[in-house]
Amino acid sequence: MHIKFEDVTYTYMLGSPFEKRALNGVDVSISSGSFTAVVGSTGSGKSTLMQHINGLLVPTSGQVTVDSTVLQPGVKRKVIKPLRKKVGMVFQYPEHQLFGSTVEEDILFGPIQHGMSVERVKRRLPELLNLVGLHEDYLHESPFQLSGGQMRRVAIAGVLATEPEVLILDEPAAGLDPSGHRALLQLFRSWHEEHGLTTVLVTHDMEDAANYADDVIVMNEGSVKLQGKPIDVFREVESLTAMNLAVPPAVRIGMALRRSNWSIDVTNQSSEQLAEQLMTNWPEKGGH
Amino acid sequence: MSTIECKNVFFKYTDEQDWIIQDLSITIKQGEWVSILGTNGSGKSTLARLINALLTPTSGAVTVAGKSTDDEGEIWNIRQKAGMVFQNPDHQFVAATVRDDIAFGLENAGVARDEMLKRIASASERVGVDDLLFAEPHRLSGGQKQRAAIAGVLALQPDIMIFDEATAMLDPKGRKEVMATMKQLHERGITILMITHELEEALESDRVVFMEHGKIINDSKAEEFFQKPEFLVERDFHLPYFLQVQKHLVENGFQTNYLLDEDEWVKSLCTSNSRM
Repeated sequence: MHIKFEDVTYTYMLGSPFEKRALNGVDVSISSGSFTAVVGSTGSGKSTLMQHINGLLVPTSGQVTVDSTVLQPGVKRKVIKPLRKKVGMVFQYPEHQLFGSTVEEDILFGPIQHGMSVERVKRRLPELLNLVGLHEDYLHESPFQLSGGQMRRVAIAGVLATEPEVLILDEPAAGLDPSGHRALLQLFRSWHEEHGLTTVLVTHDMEDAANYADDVIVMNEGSVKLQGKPIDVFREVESLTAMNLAVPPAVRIGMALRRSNWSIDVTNQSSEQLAEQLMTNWPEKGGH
Repeated sequence: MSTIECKNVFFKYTDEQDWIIQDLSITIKQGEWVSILGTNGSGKSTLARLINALLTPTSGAVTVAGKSTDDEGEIWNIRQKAGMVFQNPDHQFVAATVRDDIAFGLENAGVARDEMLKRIASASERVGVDDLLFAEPHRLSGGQKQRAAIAGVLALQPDIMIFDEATAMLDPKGRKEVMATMKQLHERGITILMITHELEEALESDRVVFMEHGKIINDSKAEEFFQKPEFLVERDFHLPYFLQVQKHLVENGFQTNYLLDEDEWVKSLCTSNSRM
């Protein structure tokens, strides 16, 4: 599903002394079927942006189009409701939202709310649980007996069970250990490919943006500052640094080496590729 | 001066359970900066809680400055000596402003008002939250909240500070702020025990303790530990990119050892190239 923001402004607590403009004339387009990373430092407006995609927030001015649904100021609830079924959201620390007495009950909550056939979803539960890396034996246990990482997987299974067409992920791997972090992002990437989703990953981890996304949007102070293929965006070292964002190490190191005449590609290449290039161009031993 | 000493420590919550900590012994001297690494469930957080007497060993002994955590009369004294900063910045605030929050711990410790004001001023200045004393917690960034929490612990004048994944929920800017604060506390002679998943952070410390299944399977100087990155790779840890590149270079005989500072390593490559 294509997602389009046109001149979108959003102001929190409009008309009160605490009024705060979080989005400022945002024009941006996320193409159908893409895996897009939205990066930006804290307070850049990235979370506000993503909450517009399923109508949790409605523009103060401008409009958001998701497929054929148009969200404008004053949009009716009956317009928003069908959109919620199509857009799945994984919030930060989704394990804080668990409440069921069993894992199964928790996962089924979303599908039931969306009027899906419970029997059909139930049949798929073991497979779904395996996919997120949990054994099906957990289905009848209390989610609160699980470790933090396992609870997160249950919460994510609950979102995937609703079979969304658009998946919005807000820092889904925050606080996980390195292997859990990688496993989770790989899961989202392969789910994305297998189900032909449109996926939006909100993150401040530039390496994740580089490794998993096709397209990167950089937000700062409520506006979109850069958009493009990861490598093109990451070459903008100066503006990224000015926005308090880290440049992926491959690019940062590549550029420093280029400056001292190493013939190195400045791309988001693997460590192995960079090492290969260094070894190919290695100065002759003893040549000083 | 507070030395931490764990001797043949075993721990589990219930009889039926497997050991969470098994036969663990370690000595940490005043002023050391120790990283505790290990996967989820390896016992890192349990060890931290044993050290500041939130938990007591099932068998074996933990002493801080010679006082056993088993001695009921010493528990408050030990907790005041070994302060703890937790992962979630939102779970550590009890008061409506930063100043009241720092005061809360001091009040509990029975510190007199005049002394309290002095300590709030100096602790908040040291970690750079003195301009935020009247700010409400929800108006602070994650990094500011963690620093306010650190100020609250610091005001109790601890010898030891334990950070249990204190940067895990922060953005890169917040992480930098908290790491800079740790560095500064270390320079002032406070013992730092840092539980982390981030190898970049462990690189800043003096000593690395690696835990697996409730045991310490590595305890060495950081610079020695990182000379053997295979150890981490085998355990599915993600090496910092500049060490990954060096690993390939070392394996192919282009480099003999690892440089543990990215800038220094890049600089060395640049110098070797200009000598061509």
